[in-house]
Amino acid sequence: MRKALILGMLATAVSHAAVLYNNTTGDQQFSAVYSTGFTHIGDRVQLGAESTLDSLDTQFYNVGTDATFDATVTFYEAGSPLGNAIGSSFTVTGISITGATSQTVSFTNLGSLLVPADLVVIFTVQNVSAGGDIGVNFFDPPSVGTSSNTFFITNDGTGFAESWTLLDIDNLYLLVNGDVANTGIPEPGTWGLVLGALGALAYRRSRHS
Amino acid sequence: MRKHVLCLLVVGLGAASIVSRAQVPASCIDNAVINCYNGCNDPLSFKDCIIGCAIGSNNDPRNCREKCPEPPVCESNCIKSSVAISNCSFVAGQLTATCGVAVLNRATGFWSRTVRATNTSQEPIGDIAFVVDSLAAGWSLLNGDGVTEDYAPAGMPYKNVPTLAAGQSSTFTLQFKRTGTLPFGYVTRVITASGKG
Repeated sequence: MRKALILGMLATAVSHAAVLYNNTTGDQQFSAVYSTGFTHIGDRVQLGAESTLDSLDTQFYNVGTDATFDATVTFYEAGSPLGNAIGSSFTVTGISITGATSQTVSFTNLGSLLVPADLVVIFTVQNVSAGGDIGVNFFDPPSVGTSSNTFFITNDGTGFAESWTLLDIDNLYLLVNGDVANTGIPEPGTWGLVLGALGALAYRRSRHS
Repeated sequence: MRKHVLCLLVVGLGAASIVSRAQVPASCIDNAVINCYNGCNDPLSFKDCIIGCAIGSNNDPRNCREKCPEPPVCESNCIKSSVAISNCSFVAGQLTATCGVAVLNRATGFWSRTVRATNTSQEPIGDIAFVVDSLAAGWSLLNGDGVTEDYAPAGMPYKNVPTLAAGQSSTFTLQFKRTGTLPFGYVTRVITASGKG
């Protein structure tokens, strides 16, 4: 039992699974819709630090009738407006969405993708069934992380660019979970946990001997 | 790279309150009239066409209706050269417009596009309208203030813009309805009251 506690302390010291970015409160009731002329829609976001990603949620809206579609997310380095792609894309297939409703979609297969603190998240939709008309929803500024209210990122088929609604609402629904990347320099709290666990192990060993 | 910084503006400026003729480069007027002349290819209407282009060099479409002896060929070409001259005025930097992306307002079911017009000149610009030309099929402007008559193309919906002092901006929202899933798009024009008809 005591050993398990010590191992737990060590595990806590090296893992901090957490919400890295949260832009899910305060629905602005506005959506940017792909069929109006966009192949890609996304946002530039700032996490607290370089991180590894476990999962990402975003919210789509269907202006049309009941449909199914596939959604893909790709991460990019920040640039003008974006830099190189980070890793490969991640796709969720066969998403069912009712007409005139919003649907939150989770990308849970990110595999601890290492991303910089400043990055661009881009979504595309494919294989939209007949009647479907898909867009992404704008929400209030994030409660965790930061993002500019005055632009998001689009591609109209000619290239990526910063775009805006001029309504100062240009933040997409995003919930990002993962871990702050190991920088090689543990924080003071981490040192405390590690030293505490090692001390407990030493004490236990000395008592046995 | 920023996109949508400027809407594509085609400006028909008819009133001296916006751009005086003195602000239009003479070379621009010459080019506009010559281009208009070059379009006069029909032998049957050649004379009326040439006269219309010449009258249009006055850069006021109201003259077209009043001064053309033989409409409609004269009048249409008069408007053509007049608008071309006005375009030069805009390019010279009198007014800019920044357009937002058209977004769906899920609360209303309508589409909104916010526009920010800025007077970049040293003079006030008054009584102007933002014209939505060649609106994509399936889309209609819901909150327009009228349709154009004098400036070709006629019958295009417009939204009035408040008078802008020198350097002043005004933000307004165009509200659209869409039928189907057609892409959004239109050509922007800014005109004065004289062009509304």
